[in-house]
Amino acid sequence: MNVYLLLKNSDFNLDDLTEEEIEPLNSDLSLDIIFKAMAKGDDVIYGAVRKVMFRYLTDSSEITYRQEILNDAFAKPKEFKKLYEIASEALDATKKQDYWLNSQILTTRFQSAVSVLEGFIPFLQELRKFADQNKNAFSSYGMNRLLSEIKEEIDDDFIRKAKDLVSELEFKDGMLLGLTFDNDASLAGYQLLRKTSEDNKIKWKMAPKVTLAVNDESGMEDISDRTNLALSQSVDTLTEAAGNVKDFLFRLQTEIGFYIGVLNLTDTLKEKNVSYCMPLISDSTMKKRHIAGLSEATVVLSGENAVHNDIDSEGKSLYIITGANQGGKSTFLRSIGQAQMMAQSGCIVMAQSFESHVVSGIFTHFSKLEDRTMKSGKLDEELLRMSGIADRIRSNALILFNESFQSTNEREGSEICREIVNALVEDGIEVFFVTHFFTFAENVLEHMKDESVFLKAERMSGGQRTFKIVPGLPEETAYGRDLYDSIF
Amino acid sequence: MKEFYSILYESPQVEGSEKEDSGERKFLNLNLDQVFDKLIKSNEAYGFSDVYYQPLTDIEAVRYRQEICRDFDNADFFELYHSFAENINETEEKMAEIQTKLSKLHGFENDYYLKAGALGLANRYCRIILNMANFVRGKRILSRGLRAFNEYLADYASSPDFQDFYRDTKDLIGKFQNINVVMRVSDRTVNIRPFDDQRNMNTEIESLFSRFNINGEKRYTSEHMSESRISPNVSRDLYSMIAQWNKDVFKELDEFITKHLYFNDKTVSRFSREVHFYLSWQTYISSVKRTGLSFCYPEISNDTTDVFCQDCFDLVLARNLVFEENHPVTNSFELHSPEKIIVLTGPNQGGKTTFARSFGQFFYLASLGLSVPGSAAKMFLPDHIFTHFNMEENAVAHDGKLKDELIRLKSILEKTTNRSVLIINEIFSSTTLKDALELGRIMMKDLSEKGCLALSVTFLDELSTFDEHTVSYVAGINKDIPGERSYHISRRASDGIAYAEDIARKYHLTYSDLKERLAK
Repeated sequence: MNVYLLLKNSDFNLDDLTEEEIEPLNSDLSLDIIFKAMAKGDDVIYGAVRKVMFRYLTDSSEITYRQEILNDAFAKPKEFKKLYEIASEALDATKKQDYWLNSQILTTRFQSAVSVLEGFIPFLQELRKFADQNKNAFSSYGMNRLLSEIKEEIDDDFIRKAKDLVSELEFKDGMLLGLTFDNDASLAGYQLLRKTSEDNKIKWKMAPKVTLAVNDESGMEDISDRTNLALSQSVDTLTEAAGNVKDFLFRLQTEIGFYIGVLNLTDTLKEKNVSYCMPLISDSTMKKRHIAGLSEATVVLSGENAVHNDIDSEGKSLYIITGANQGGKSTFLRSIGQAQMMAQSGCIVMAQSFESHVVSGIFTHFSKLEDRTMKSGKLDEELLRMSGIADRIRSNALILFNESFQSTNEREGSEICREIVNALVEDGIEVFFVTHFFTFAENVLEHMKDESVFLKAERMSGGQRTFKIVPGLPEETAYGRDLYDSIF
Repeated sequence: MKEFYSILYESPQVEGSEKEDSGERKFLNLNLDQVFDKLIKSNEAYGFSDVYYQPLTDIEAVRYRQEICRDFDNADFFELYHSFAENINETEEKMAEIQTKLSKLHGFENDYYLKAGALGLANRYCRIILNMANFVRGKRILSRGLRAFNEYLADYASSPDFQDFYRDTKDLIGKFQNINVVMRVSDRTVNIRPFDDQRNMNTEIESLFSRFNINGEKRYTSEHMSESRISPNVSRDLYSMIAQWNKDVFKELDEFITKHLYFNDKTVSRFSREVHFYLSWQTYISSVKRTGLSFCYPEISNDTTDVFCQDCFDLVLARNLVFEENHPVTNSFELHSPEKIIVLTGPNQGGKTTFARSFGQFFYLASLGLSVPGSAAKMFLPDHIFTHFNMEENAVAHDGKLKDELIRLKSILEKTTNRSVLIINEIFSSTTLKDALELGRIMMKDLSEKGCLALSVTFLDELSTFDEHTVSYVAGINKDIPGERSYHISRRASDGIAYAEDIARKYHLTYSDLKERLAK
């Protein structure tokens, strides 16, 4: 039985995230605040959304597949929550058996596996009920496929057989073992057998029997060894069965959990009056960005006044963002990264509208604020990091630079920027670059004008910042004087 | 059908050599008691221990054994016969237990567990015999003994009696394998019924939960009860209940037991026990071989004119040194007519007694037909081997010692012939030099006249040139390190060196050394 709610035809990778998958995106794009808003205190959802987002998709058909399911979630949030609940309760109910499943004692392992399976049955029944009640509720392919599989596999026949089997495995009425002889006429081949309807009747009462004396210890040891031989054949199968049902429920919980996370986020955004939309992502070889009213997560989720930015471009690979210090450039850069990642995870985007091409990977190269004063060794560190990116980045990726290579002087730094950016853009990589290097920006203006977009932090004539990023050519000063004036 | 007598003796006539007293001083003096105690301990159950104390006097009998021992130098043959013998031994041991237990049952009693056990062992026995007969067919065996046994075995395996027995066994085992029963366990009660097409729990679990992606890997193995935990009573009861549902098959089992209970073939049985004489010897010397020492099969001649052994060594010492990953120095000796008596002189602790022991071991072990220490050798079979060792731990008072030595010597010389071998170690050391020399010369004259082969270890250098029958050997010293012995024995004139001086030098107690020390 497959869940397949995050990928059309396969199981989403639920392994623990590696350090490489998480950083530097997590810090640079301040993603944790988004995850927390999605989780609303639920650890399972927190874990689920993180895995889904850090493992964003790069196939637009898979993105569409998720968006359809997400639309179902928007339409029927209570039902989605119910499904999540069933899975969670099933797992909670059987959690305490986990310890015993690893016991050294065979009979303990056996009994706990039976217990786990027994515990799951009512929840599987609930799943079935859910599927029956909601057979016309959803329009996505994913949800309907899941429901019909549940109906088919967890049918009445299965429920009945499972209950019978589990009940028999309690051996309330004795155990049946099949015996055969080996090629030395010794007894071997001890196998657990199922009782037939006949087995509960008189014929066993009439069968030849032997009853061990109460103090016949060696006799009891002998018989229990023989039964253990049979049990050991089955205990592995049982434990695997229990484990597999558990895996299915865990996966269901996680995959549905992601959608619950998005629902939670949209609830919060609605409360805070933040616009959000279902993004339009296409497999376009031509780069296009039509974004209106884009806001950034840390700003809106902490209740500050949001700034909304727009981009309207086609066929552009390079965005040069210059302008006054603390003018909202970093915030803008983060909002781009966040939006792209969320869009490619099948989530909503915090914008009024968002249309873009799909990117093969999202990379960041941010300068660390506190390190900016330390020049020695810093350039090495930045270049090393860039080299690491170069190893992994492929064509059609998106890379965001924030004040990179400013650990050296403008002339040298510009040269470094120019060479790196040239190479990236020529390879079809989309670059957003926030920089103070006028030389570099001017060079781009001179040689790469056609594929570039020039943006700057808006500054009113009186010197006030609006924190909005608007189209604008680079200026030689970053208006440090304004800042000085405002302080002194 | 071909006959086979024994792997130790070619015919019954050869068997029955006189058994020597295992307590004889000779065995202690030569340290052969250590060798035989170990070997007998591992072979106790096989009943041929006396053989170690029955040296052969017939050349052909010795050759018979040497050939067989030589076949087992080959590791493959060793393995083959070793596992054959062990399998037969084990099967027979278990059968003996069952045979005893069954014979103790009263007329009305029956124990199908025991009988089924016998059937199982019978099956195993047949397979061992047939496999072995098959395996040795066409293999290049050199010894008369093993070849004769193989022929016997081939004959036996194809004999109508055996074939009949094998067929009965196979058929009945097959019938048992067709039996399918169900055991019901509930609290302390066990019932048995025939199999009623009940479904296997495992496959049921697998197929029911396969929708949750179980790999249908069959992990089923034919598990057996651990023998130590089987309760004989429970087993007897189980089999008796199964018998109630399969009366025909179990009736056949009763008949099988009546007909075949004592199926063991006596010749195979005897072989499987006696072959351990050679196998245990090979095991015993294998660790010594690994340190680089050689063993050989001496050429046995009827005449006493030539005797030699190259690279001989004391076997017990060699075994002890194995743990230090070392081996003793090897030494060679040779006597060609008219040479008959080796006089061995040299420093204390120079390896003379060790040499004397290896000399004695050489002759004795060769007359058992086993391989002996050395890389090449020739000898004759002595009618007696006599030893006369200086016994320091003796409770006899010092002045009574010479008397005791002479009495012992007399009793030896009375029995000595020109086909005897004597080993005399440090005799006459408890009297004055003048007396020792006189007595020594008398003894040498006696030995010379008797014409026996002898080795005399002595401090009396003068004896080393007694007559034309005498040969001088000397234990060497390490010239470079004072006080160090080389343990090398060489055939040369005696040194006449004061070896005591040598030891004194080691402790800086020579005259000049001591003077110097005292002056300080």
